[in-house]
Amino acid sequence: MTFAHFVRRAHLYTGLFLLPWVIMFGVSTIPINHQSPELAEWTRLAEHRFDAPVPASSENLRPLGRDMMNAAGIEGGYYVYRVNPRQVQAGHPRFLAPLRINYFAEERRLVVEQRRFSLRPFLSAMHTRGGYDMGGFWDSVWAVFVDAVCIGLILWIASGIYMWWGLPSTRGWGWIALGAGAICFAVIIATL
Amino acid sequence: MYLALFLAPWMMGYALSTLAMNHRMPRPTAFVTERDQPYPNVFEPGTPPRDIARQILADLGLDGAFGVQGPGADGRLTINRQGMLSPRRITYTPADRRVVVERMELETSGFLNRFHRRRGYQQPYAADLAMAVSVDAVIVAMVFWALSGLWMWWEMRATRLWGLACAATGIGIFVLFVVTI
Repeated sequence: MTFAHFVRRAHLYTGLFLLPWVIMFGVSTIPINHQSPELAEWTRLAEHRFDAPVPASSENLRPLGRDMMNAAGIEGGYYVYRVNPRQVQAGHPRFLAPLRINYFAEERRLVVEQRRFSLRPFLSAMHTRGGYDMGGFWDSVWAVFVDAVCIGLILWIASGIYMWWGLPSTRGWGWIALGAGAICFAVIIATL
Repeated sequence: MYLALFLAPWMMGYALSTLAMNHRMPRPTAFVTERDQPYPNVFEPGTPPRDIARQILADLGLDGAFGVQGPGADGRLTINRQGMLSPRRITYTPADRRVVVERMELETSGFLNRFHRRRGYQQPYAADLAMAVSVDAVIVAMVFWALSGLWMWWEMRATRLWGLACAATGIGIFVLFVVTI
């Protein structure tokens, strides 16, 4: 197997393996680039008594988030943020039916809600999910695939340029496409 | 191929910025003061903050996409001029009729983050419109590359078996993730 043959096969097979992610990242950009005022609908699942001090604004909220997850009986990764000084929200991302837990400190109340399936939030959530800091094993596995897609994109660009260079008859138009893209990109970035 | 060559800078930008975001690369938000100057213009009471902000930006020669916070109790407005390379924060204090212009230093992770998040047709500026159109072009291209890749693979009989194994494995893992996590 020659190097050129290896490059072509690697380009093809990694592309086929990561095909669903490529389509997903493409399609899920539509609701992000064409925003709509449609709000997600949340259904109340449970309400609990809960009492814990809300950390000061500079302190880490994750221990409180873990306590909220435990009190709600939910396992897995979560994010947590301060809605306002008296309300903290933890979220457990799931593609089809994510959960959120709101802690109302003054009322010592924990409200657990689930988002009803809706295409736009579903696609947006797929697009934005990532990171290794959620604390859930499967969240980190998903993050590994996000990294794999990024590395795949870089390798497809490099292997694509290599394969293009191997086709001398396309070099002229290829240079024009590459140069025009680079110029358009630079102009947009510089003027934004 | 030509479409891929044209969109290569965008794809490289999205790949690198997604890596930065997936690894939560820190984004320093240090501003340096660029200008601190009198601003004599007066606005009628009740003028919408966005109108005031737009006028201030035009007067400062900083027209472009922006967000605005305020007014605060003292009437202070904070305008965030959303520059891609060097975002600026402009603080207008009507009590002493001054504006302070601060610029964020260019650094890699902040730039990548801003690039990745810049989208949509909300801002009425040509550069923002061009960016939104280019994002749509990337969407169409990604779906087109996926479908044309499938077709080109199917045309190469020698690769069908391994290709099928790769595609089926990828689709299987993806569907499993979507349903279970």
